[in-house]
Amino acid sequence: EKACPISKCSTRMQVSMGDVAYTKMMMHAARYFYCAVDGLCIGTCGESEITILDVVPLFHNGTLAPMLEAAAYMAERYAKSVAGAEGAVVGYYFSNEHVKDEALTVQAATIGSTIGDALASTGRRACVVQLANARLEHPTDAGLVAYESNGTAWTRTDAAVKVDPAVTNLFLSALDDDLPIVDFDLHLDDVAMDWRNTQVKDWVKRRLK
Amino acid sequence: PGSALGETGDMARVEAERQGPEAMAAVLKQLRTSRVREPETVVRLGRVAMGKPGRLGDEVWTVREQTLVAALDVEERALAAECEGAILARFSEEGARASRLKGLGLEAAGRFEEASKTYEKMLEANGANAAALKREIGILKGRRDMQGAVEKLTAYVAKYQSDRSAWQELAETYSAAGLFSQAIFCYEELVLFEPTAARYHCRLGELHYTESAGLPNAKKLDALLKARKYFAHCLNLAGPRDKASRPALGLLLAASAIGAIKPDDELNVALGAQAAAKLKTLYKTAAPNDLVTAAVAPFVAANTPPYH
Repeated sequence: EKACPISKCSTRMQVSMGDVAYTKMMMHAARYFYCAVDGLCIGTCGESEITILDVVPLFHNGTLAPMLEAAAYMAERYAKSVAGAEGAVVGYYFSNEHVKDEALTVQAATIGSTIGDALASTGRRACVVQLANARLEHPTDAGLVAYESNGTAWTRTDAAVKVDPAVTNLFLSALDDDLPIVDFDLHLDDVAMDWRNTQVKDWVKRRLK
Repeated sequence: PGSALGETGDMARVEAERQGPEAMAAVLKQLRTSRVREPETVVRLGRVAMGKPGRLGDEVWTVREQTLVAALDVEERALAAECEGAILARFSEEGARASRLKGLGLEAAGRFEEASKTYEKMLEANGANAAALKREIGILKGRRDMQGAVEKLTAYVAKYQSDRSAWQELAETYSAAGLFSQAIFCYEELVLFEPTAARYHCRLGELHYTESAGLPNAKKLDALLKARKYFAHCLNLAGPRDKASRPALGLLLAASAIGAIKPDDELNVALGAQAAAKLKTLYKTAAPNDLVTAAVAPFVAANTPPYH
């Protein structure tokens, strides 16, 4: 028996975020520091842990249904190329516009639940990851809060999101190197811009060698 | 391209840094007119350009103002204070423009009470000062009083009906709060002002489509039909060299959703097919091949008619 069905699952969730995923997400947030940003988390789910291997940055101009649906479909395909047959859209990340706003948005809960419903058929669960802006004041703080759902409501996880401390500031060097970050909004304005952001994966790989 | 100015912009900035203050001022001017938010670039260039006021003439004041605002954006407090000091020394604090900059500095520091007083004074001198009214809304947003911000914004657009950015700000505030019909109302006003602005039609399409999800079946079709209409119209308005996929994607999805309710509607099938064709051409000519094959083509195929 691989993973426990949602209704019986009582284990608390552990979310971890890989180097490329974290760097892309932070670059996205930094690039549009004056906006609310969001994106999809790509990776694999175990019984009680979710490993986020990559992200698809989505929007900085507001999130509405049609483009979100298009992005979600394509991201699901992309997930297979990232993590093989087990790869999936496993969650949603977001960061509020206001530096002190720590609320879980209705939108995040809705999108998280939609992702969760899609995963439930295979006994897997979704997570929602929030970039808590105010915590970014501390250079060693990854600044992330994870949420899990019991089917009706989303609550903060007990365990912190695992991020390698050595990579929490990588994104700053990436931006200093003028490395671009493309989100779905940018892609929609010009389809030549690639939301898979392979340049970030390559840069991180070189950097960490 | 990482910079919002695009690759040419990045090169322009590097080149300008090499050439000197006049070239930098030209790039700064381009940033002002394009209204792109690139505070790091502005601070980098402005800092140097301001240091040679003789080479800029009167433009140095616009550059100082622009650099001040950018410095506030990236928390370069010393630089912001330096700009503010220079501006206030030259232009009286009683003047509206200088006052507003002073207020901005206070807002950035979270000193909302004092900022509020600054704007009150501006309004006492001139009750119709739009900049001061907008800053008051800014303060409400800064304090996270969204209800208050919406109220003040609504009052503002009632007074300044042709202020498009205000209407759009109100629309997006409503949209972010999930109040789609109110957002739609605002964008309808914008369409009245600018009937050929494709982006407003596209946004209306997106809002109607989003709204449709929460509606009972009878009203759902209505909303989807409106969405489809707006996306189609946006495509009509878009130029032949337009690389935007938004309206085509929207039209494809709207037609697909309508197709789930009315699979044999000929007009709908035609529109869906048109959207699919448009997307295929667009992606084939412009996007990376493997992206198309892996992700885009399956998506388009899944939503192309027939809708059975």
